[in-house]
Amino acid sequence: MRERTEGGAKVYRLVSRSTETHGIGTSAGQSLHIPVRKALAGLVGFLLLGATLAPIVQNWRPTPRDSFPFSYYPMFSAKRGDTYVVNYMVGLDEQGNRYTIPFSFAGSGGHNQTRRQIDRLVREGKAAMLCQAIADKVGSDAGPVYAHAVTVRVVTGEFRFDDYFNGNKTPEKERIRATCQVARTEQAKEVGH
Amino acid sequence: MLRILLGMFAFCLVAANYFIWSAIGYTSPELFKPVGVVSILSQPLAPVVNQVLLIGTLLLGVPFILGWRYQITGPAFSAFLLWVISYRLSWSMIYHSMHLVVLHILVLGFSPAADALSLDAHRRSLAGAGQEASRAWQYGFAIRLICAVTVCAYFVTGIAKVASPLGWSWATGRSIRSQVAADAIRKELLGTSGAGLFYRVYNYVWLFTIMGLLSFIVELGAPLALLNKRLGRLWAATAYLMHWGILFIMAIEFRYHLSGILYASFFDMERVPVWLNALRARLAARLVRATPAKA
Repeated sequence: MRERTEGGAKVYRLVSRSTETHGIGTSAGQSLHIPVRKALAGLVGFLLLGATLAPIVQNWRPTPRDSFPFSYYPMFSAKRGDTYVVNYMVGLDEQGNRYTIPFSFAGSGGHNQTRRQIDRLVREGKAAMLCQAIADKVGSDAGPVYAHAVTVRVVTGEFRFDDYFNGNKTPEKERIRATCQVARTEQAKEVGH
Repeated sequence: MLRILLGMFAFCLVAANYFIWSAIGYTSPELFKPVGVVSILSQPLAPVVNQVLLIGTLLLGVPFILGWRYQITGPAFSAFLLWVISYRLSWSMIYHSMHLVVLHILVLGFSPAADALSLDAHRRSLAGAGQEASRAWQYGFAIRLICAVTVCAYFVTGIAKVASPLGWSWATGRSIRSQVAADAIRKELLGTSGAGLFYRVYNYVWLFTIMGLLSFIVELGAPLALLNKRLGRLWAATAYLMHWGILFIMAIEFRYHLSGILYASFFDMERVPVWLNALRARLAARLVRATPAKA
């Protein structure tokens, strides 16, 4: 601890060096306020550390609430079995071939945020609305990747970890939440052909 | 030096994500779930207001880094950063990689972090005004507070794992592997590139056991980093390497952690300009010595 308290002195020496370089002395005023300032800083520091540690109690609450910038950091603490259930979107062409539709078609807030939003919409029974929005985007997408997609589906799949990471990526169960037809814009049709 | 490093990181974080964070303002209000300070809102802001706040944060970031009018720009940048990141996280997902950036900037923003290597220090020197000798303790206090906040956050992360239904068994290989596997599957199915290395190591459970144990040591042992400087540096280096391991195996990018800037407070960053000055002086002296010899 002794070593660490020297940190402030080092910064101060740097400040002093800077002022000495320019031929300036230091004023010794306001030293009377030091105990008050130290007490205030100590209090603020104590409160900040308390606020950082306080979210720990969320771990024992029936419905824990996460927040920002003080969190109980629940990432990677969920109990998982041998399988994983996930909501995702697939595109199908006329022959029934499947394409992965990336999260960016469903939202603009990054992978994890959009995933949460997809989960929430599916949970709230709004999969059809989500599906239509994605189908509209796929229809207006002028890129060749989705040019042959005629149908979009929002699905919930269950995967077995051991199968998936040893080469078998077929879901153990798959439930179709919503199906929508892709209506192509003229521009998208031209690019597609 | 810490102010410059952390300020540059925070500025780059906002600048690099400007378009994504602006676009978030157009998300369906149904998905708005305010967190932190943004909880005062019952409805999202107009997208243009969000953009103005983002631009304001970037504009305030420059004087923060330069240390210009710091008594105003320090707290103002901290407050703006807290707001824009809280708002960015108010759409159904809280990313845990940004908490410490904001907490560190808040500590610095409300500390006298621009008394050296700043435009304010330069201005004061030109005006012939000095620093109060009584301020010395404040510099060290802010640095120690940043270190303490960092280790507390890691400790809370560790407690979350132990307090979860998995308890101490979280550290067993199978458990941590399933966490990584779930993350990899959803990444692939939602069109993000997963970690290729994870496929190769999936069947080596012992590797995940080591990872789990290391995580517990780093997270639950974090408070020990405050005991002395050497332990602090050792902890910082271990945590830093752990995040690089997470990146390679899990493809999870904690940029603040990976940059090493998060751990800068555990090292004597204030020595860097002194070292640079000494190096410059040594090089200049060598040049002077070498010049007559050539002639």
